[in-house]
Amino acid sequence: MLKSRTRKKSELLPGTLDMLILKTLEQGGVMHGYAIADRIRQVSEDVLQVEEGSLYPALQRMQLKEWVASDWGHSANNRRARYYRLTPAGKKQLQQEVSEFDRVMSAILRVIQTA
Amino acid sequence: MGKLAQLWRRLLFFLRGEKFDRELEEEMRFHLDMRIERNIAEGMSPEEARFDAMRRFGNRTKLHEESREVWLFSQLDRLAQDLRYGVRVLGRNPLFSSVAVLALALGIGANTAIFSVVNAVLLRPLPFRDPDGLVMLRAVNVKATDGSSMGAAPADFYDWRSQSQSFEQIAAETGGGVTLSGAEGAEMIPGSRFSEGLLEMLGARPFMGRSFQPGEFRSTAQPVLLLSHRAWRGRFGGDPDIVGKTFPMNGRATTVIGVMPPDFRHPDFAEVWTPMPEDSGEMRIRTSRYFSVIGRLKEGVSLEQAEAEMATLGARLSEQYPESNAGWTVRLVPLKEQVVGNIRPALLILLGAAGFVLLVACANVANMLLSRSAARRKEISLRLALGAARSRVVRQLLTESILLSSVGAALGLGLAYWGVDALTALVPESMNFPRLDEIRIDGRVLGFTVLMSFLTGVGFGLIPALQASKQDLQGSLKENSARTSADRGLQRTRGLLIVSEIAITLLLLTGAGLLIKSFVRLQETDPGFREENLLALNIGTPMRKYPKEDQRAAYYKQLVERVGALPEVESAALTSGAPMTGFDLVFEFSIEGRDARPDDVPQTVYSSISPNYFRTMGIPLLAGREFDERDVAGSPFVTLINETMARRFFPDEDPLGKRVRINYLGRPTMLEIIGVVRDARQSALSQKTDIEMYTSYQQAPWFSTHMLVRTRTAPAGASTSVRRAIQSVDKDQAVMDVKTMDELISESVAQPRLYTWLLSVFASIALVLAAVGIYGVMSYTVAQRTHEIGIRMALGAQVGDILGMIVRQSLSLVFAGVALGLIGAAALTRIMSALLYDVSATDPATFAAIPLLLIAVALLASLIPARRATKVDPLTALRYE
Repeated sequence: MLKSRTRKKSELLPGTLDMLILKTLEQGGVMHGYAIADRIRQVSEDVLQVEEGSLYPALQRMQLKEWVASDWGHSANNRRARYYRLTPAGKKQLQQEVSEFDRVMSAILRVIQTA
Repeated sequence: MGKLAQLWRRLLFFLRGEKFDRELEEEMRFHLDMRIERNIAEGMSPEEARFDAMRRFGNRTKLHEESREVWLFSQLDRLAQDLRYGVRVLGRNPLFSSVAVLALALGIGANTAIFSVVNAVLLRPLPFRDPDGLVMLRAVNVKATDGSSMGAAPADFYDWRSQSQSFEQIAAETGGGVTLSGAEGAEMIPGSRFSEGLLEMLGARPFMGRSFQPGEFRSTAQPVLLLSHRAWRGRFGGDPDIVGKTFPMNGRATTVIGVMPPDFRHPDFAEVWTPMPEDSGEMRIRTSRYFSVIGRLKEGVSLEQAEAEMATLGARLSEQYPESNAGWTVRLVPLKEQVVGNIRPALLILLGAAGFVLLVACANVANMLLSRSAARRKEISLRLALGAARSRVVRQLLTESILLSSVGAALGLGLAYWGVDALTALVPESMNFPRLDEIRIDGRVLGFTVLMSFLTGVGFGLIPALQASKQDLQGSLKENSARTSADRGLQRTRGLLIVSEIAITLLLLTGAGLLIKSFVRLQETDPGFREENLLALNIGTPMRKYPKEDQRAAYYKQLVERVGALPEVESAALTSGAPMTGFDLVFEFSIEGRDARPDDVPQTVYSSISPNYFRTMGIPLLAGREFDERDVAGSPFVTLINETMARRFFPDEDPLGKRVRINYLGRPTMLEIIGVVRDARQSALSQKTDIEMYTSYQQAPWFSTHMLVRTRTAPAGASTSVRRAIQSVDKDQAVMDVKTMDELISESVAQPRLYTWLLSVFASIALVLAAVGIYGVMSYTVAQRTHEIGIRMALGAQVGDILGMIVRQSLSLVFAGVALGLIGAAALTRIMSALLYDVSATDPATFAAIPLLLIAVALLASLIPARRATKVDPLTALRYE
């Protein structure tokens, strides 16, 4: 019973969820949580299966660190929703994470190609 | 930004926590609704759409919790949350909580109290400068196989000091009270004489005034004295101008030069210190070993090296002075060992016993938690089902148990404060309990208590917590799943806990039983004299007034006559011994015509007494005659011996008329045996009577003396008139320690009484806890088996059958515990042997009686629930499920 609940959290590399959220916000501007999740799924053509709820703890964490800021607004269907946007600190963080990611990925690729 | 800004935002979160929850909830609901709408738009049925949305989203409760935790001072806040919850849970079960807290308070209190004694006496360093380098130099007779050692003879001390290389310094100390003459007669103040350099070696400086100066260690010097803080406050009212004042002490004007700080107490009993004149004739004495010699080892010299050097030195002295030193060597004992070594085993046993009490308390509380966890099963299952991690649940349950143990510890600390006071009050002044005044609850004791409360909290909480969180969720979520496999595991754990509780209780009870029996034996011991209507007084002789033997003898004779003439007095006598203090004078002797090897000289307890001593004490004469008017200075030196000596040295002949040689104060002296008296235990009840010799004070008047008065009326009432009679002979004669023999005997057994009392209290606590434990388990069992009992009764089982069934179940646990406990007791009581008097550590009677007692109590404890079982109404019981 308990076992069946602990499915794999996400098939993302650890630590990449933050980066994906930041990137999505950089491209999409001001978005609510559902839109962010949907966008990640669409852009990755369903390859990246994010447990959608896991966005929320991540968004809280990034708010605490002031990478993102949020405000309540109204959605297209006129419901109250929380909208997130990137802060300058978040932009800087995104650049750092992307370059770090590139470095690691190119290293992995080198290993795989030489093998 | 950075940490400070984050801290600020966390604090803001704290203030708007509820709003946060509402908003997050709304946000997540929005997310789900959006997904459901989209799913429906894509063609799913509403039911499918909702399920798919939830599946994609994940565990909402858990995610909410995680989001929230981002903002918390996570660990701390979770703890606060757990604590709040724990307080609520415990508050809802006041009976359970108070019983558990009480059990833990008793266990933790007992440990804290005993540990504070252990801490003060055994763990804390002695209150001296660099105490680890201090050693005691003791004289050891090679014949002494029991490891006993003695102080040093004054002359030996001088040789050791001048001839050894291993020590930075060597100094000596010996008893030396002073007689203070005042308006209301003289009084004696216990004190000690210090050789030059001892104060400096111990690092002791006066709190007021100055220390001794080198010139003061001479017999011609103006007499001076240092007061203890206690004497200054107690006897001189804390007079701020005491330094420089002069008092008539020991018959001479003596100047107080200083007051020592309150924590300086060496030796324990001393209230005054005087310089020891190093040029007096005393320093030539080699035959009496009454100096305490302390040395400070040189840097880099080990105890073994120093001891080897001293052994060589000792051997040289044995050759040089065979008369006094043959067969004697030197042993070094760390000072702390010398001070506390005697009491260590008893303290460790008590600490162990207290630890056992705590274990029983833990087992008990664990048991109660287990039966409660059955009741809380649904709550816990719900939390697990809602996605709480098992570790989270375990932590919650542990927080509860540590909360319990902390409250117990707080209460226990109160008990310990009270207990330490009671304990120190219980110890009479005369009981030689080292460092008694240093016992207090300090930082280390508090640390110990905190650590103990944490460990016990985890100790008794862990098993129940693990048990409770390891649940078959489906099973326990259903209302009526009474008996599952988890349940059987629970029963087994509870059974094990009860068995160990009983085993430990049996161990404690056996220990207490042995001590009680030993104590009773001790009190029933026939001392060999009549102890009723007997008054004892300590008379410190003003030596300076009566320096010559004939002066002393005449003075003593007058004292005996004057007191003996009082109407309420039947007879009065003097002795050089100190009754019931465990203190003896020991002389070497040899029988005329039988030469002992120099290293195998027999020893005897020696007393110088007045002629009517045996009549006053009620010690019967077995042969020959007592001392009388013929036995005075100048007439042949005579002695009486006790029956042990007669039996051992004259098994087949008449000892009367035989002669014994002793070395009396440096003079070889021949004594003729004129009588034999019954054995009597005059110095301590527990001391097996050894060889004893008595001489008449008219021929050998000792320096100090005790008076014994056989009264016609209650002895305590006669003390004033006896004191007045003594001081009518010499108004400067101090009288100390006026006590009835009954009091003296009672004080002499104070130590065993204390141990017996403590261990009995511990064992009783354990017994009550074990009884409560058995009661609890059996009640639970009966409640669990109500249904089954109902069926049995419906099928015709009689009350007796049901009673038997329940009692049998409890007895099987009890018997297992008793068996285990007996094995443990047989192994462990051996370490108590040193505390036992005339009782074997595996005394069969005790080992038979204690299990019976325990079984009887256990039966009683299980009878109440068993009777309840028989009251079960079959119809109700069957409808119960």
